[in-house]
Amino acid sequence: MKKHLKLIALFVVIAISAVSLCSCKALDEAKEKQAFYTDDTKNEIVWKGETYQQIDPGKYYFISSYGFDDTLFVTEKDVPVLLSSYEGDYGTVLNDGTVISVNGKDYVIGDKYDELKKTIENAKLDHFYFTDYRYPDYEYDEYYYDRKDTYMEDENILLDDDISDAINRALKTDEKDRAEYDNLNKNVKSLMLYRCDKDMVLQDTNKTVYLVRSDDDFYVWESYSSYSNGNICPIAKDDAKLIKEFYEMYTDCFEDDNLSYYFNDNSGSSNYGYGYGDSSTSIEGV
Amino acid sequence: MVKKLIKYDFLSFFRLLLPVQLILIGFAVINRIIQLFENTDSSAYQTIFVSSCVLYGIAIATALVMTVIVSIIRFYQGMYTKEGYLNHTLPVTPTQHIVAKLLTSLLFYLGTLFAVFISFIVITLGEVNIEIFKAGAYLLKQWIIESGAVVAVYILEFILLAVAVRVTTFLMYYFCISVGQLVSKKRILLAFGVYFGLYTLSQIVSTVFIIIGTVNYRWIEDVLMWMSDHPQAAAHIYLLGALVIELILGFVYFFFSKKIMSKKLNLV
Repeated sequence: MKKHLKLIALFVVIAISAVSLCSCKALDEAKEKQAFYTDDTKNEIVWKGETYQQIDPGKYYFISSYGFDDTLFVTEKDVPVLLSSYEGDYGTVLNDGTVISVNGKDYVIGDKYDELKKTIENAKLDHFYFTDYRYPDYEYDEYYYDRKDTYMEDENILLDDDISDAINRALKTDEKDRAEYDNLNKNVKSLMLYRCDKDMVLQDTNKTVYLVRSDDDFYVWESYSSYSNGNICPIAKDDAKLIKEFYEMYTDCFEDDNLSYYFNDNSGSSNYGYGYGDSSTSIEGV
Repeated sequence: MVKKLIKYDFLSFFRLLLPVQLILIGFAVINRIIQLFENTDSSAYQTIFVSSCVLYGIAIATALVMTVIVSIIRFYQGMYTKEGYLNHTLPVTPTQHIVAKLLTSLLFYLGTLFAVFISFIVITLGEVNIEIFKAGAYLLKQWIIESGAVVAVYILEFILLAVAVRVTTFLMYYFCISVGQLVSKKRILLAFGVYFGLYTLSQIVSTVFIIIGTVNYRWIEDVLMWMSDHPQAAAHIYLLGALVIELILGFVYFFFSKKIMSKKLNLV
């Protein structure tokens, strides 16, 4: 009996000492995705040793990125890492780690706070960007074992200054010079653009602009604008070549005729399919 | 005398079950060593790791099943085979025999559970282990914050219920074996038949309750509503109710096993 007990004790000691403390990869990844509120007010977050302070972007919001590594869970200090996804608030990391967005609140990394505060105060949203959606190839093995490689890595692309200027000029077209969407060739393609600042940090809420192509002609149309239903603004002849070159570079990003449901009737009201406004809000005049 | 009975039973269990438990911990050690070479990009590592996890799972199931099987076999051999001739000549009552066997079986079942726990510690040795215990402590703390001191009562009720279920299950096996030995031939077959008969009976009783519940669904709705309004009381009622039922069943099995052993003993 004593011999048996000795054997058991020795086995247990060997079992424990035979393997050294070794970290698990999944655990390390989970730790990287956990941030902490510094106190109950939830005005500050600590993530990867950096402190993030809450900031109010006013009527704008920070532009999102869409990477696999850009999510995290923000929890109270005493929440263990294994429970972070259940007890924590889901957050996204924006702007290459400068901003964290959690439950509608934005937090800026300490040393960038003043800079971003100034950017918000002096924001001039006269540029545009669009999202290049990249759908992955779902090969079974790779998808199962290495999800990062097949995750949808979209990219936000800022338009050049001259293209943005051309679009802004077109949007100022007089009503009498505008075209009718219904009169366009049926093979229409459009690209959704978002208003942003020149550094692509801030975005205007609810304002989207469509760059429309019909044969070799280009138009723009802005949602929530003063334009009456069905009227779109032609790109000036001087700017057409520039826009055409842009189109040829990003043809795959244009979608087929996705504006037609905005112009279903001529009653002067439009239906907005993105949830930013009422489903039957009329466009008011300026 | 009962102490000596338990002691010799203990030794026979030990000889049979210790290797199984050591093999279980051995599989855990092997799995932990495999984790040292962790490489999630390698399909070879994934295959080996998953295979070792599957073997570990099989080892756990085998250890638990072996413990139950050894308990049944030791009871049968000790009470109703040639070994029974010796045991029944001892100055020990049938009650004491059953209690001795029951205690040893329960002890080794707990021992196997402890071995599973140790193997789990081994397999998660390192930061993972620490994080698991941290998560468990956090959840317990949250539960205590929400429910107060009554958590201790819940835990006690649950432990009592778990022990009662295990004890009643062993007593059921003893009852089946005891009924089986009433015949001179095909005793084990009859024991299996009794077991399946009891199982079928329990299913019939459950089905009857389900039918009654379906017919009187409004009453069931009222009960569910009450339970959602009084979750703590409902939990206590459930745990204590299940405990009472298990104790009643356990007593019935014990009573009839003892009666057969004392009045209808039929050794080969």
